[in-house]
Amino acid sequence: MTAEAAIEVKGLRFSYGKGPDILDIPDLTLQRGERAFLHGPSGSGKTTLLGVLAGILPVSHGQVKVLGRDFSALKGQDRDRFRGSHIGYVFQMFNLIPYLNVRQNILLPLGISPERAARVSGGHDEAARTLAAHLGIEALLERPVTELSVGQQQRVAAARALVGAPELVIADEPTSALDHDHREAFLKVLFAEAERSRSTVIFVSHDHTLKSLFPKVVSLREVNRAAKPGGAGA
Amino acid sequence: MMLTIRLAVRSLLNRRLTSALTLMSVMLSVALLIGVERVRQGARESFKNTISQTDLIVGARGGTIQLLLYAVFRMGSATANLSYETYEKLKANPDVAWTIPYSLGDSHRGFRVVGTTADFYEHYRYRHDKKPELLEGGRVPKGVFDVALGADVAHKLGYKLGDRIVLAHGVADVAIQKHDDKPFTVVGILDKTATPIDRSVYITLEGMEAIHIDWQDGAPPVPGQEITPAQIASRPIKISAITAFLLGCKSRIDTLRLQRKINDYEDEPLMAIIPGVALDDLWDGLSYAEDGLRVVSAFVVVVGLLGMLVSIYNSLNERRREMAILRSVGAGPRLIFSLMVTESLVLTVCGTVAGVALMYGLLFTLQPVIERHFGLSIPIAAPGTEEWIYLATIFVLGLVLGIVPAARAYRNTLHDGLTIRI
Repeated sequence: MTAEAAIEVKGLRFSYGKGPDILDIPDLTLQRGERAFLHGPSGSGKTTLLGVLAGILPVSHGQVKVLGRDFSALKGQDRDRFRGSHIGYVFQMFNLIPYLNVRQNILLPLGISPERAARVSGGHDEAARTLAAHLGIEALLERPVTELSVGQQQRVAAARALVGAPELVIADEPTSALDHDHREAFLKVLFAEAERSRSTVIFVSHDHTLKSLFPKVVSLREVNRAAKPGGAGA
Repeated sequence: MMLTIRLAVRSLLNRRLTSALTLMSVMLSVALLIGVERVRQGARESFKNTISQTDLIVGARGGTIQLLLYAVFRMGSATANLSYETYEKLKANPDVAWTIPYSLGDSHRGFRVVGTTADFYEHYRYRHDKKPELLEGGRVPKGVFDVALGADVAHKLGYKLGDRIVLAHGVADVAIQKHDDKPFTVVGILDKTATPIDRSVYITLEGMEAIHIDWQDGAPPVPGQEITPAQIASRPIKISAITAFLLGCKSRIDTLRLQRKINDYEDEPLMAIIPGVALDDLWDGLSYAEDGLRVVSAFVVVVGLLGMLVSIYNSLNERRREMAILRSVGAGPRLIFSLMVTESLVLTVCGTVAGVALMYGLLFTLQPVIERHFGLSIPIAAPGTEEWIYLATIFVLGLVLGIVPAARAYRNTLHDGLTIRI
């Protein structure tokens, strides 16, 4: 299994219904443990690619292997289960369920995926505490999420994406709502934790100042032949 | 499964006000439905228990409902009497354990006058085994001009023991002809029974005969020919007729045989009815009112549950990002669906339980008051089969209505995927 790539996309084509192709990716490979910076302007198919990689959108043409699993062979239900067990996901903002407190938000994936819960050695609360301590939000564990600042919310989201050590963490512009100092701090703790759980990180952003922090940079405009040419950014 | 319930409950608690209002509407509608059912049962029971242990009611041949109405409910009047001779013959029948003769037809300020014997106080039963009891200091009327009052009569007219009252001829509210030459003395007042007993005045058969003794062909005595109370007291009174009588058999098994015998009685056209059967018939004749009540309260429950559907449906749009988050941590559309259905079910179940609890709470506090004022004895019992069916139906209805917003959430989440919509 370790020999397998984290992401292996071959000849992927995707369109919504009978519309034009949004994705046309002949080849995209990310190795395990890699930290990749994926960038592209709006319209380059970022959101759609993430939907495919997370197993939300079905693969109809081509091959998408995530952690060695061929998504085109899996039903939606199985892709959901796979995502719950193996993938952590961080949104740009509004990451948290408003009616759960910080600890409950962090532990949410363990409730949904038994497989992920099984990977946590020791108690769940302890796992939440350890992660929170690493991310500097230990004092907030029992607080309602509505009381948190945006920066704190993103750290809670990171803790949730990392709990139960998923092999793949997808972060979709997780820092765009943060100011510069917080961005770097956030990335540092995210990397440190990903390192600890040996997770592959796909970090999506249009903020090129962060590019230098990543060993691997993927430009979606170059990779995706269906990307609209001449979009802003690069 | 536990996760679904936990999430659903926390989500509902998060929308505290809306959830509380929804819960309340379900609770009140369920309490109303079950309450109406209870009152209905109580009313039916109380109605049936107006008279107990009497096996047959015997009167002149006519309508069964009419006989029931005048003999039990003191409503309407008899078209014919039966002779005292017949009564005595039937009373002597070996199958008969006891009888209570009634002589009706007069009134006192709107309340019916019942001529009867001490048997009434001895054998009459209502609500299974209760008998009419005289209040402290009273006694059963024995003398010709003794009268005992039903509780409502005494209360409404403010009579007390020793008062002298005048009875009126006929049963019209405003009496034209009064037996004012022959006043009666109140010797007893009956305790409240919450049955028609309370609304009557009781004298002896002799008393009833005596006030009409000098009447001729239904007309008051010609002046100068009146017979004074003193004269009446000095000679024996012969009773010629009664209106009806109640009858208890020695053995229940004899009832039908005796009924047939009375109905086929050759010397006089008689009729015997079994009170339980006749009461059922009468009640069933009124049951459209019951059905109306039930339909209304069932609709109230439907409206309550529709309110729940609307409140959950309305919450869906603002919760789309919540759905996207749940999907990102591995929840499939099915989990989202069952989460929404669970919310409906939690509201339905909690509302139903709260409604039933409310109904029982009210019953415990109000039952004695209702019984005292309306003579309606509502049983405080565990829910019966019919009520369980109601509760199960409400549950299923909550489930079915819960599917509507859940299906919408399912479609939303398929469409949105991981897109956070605000």
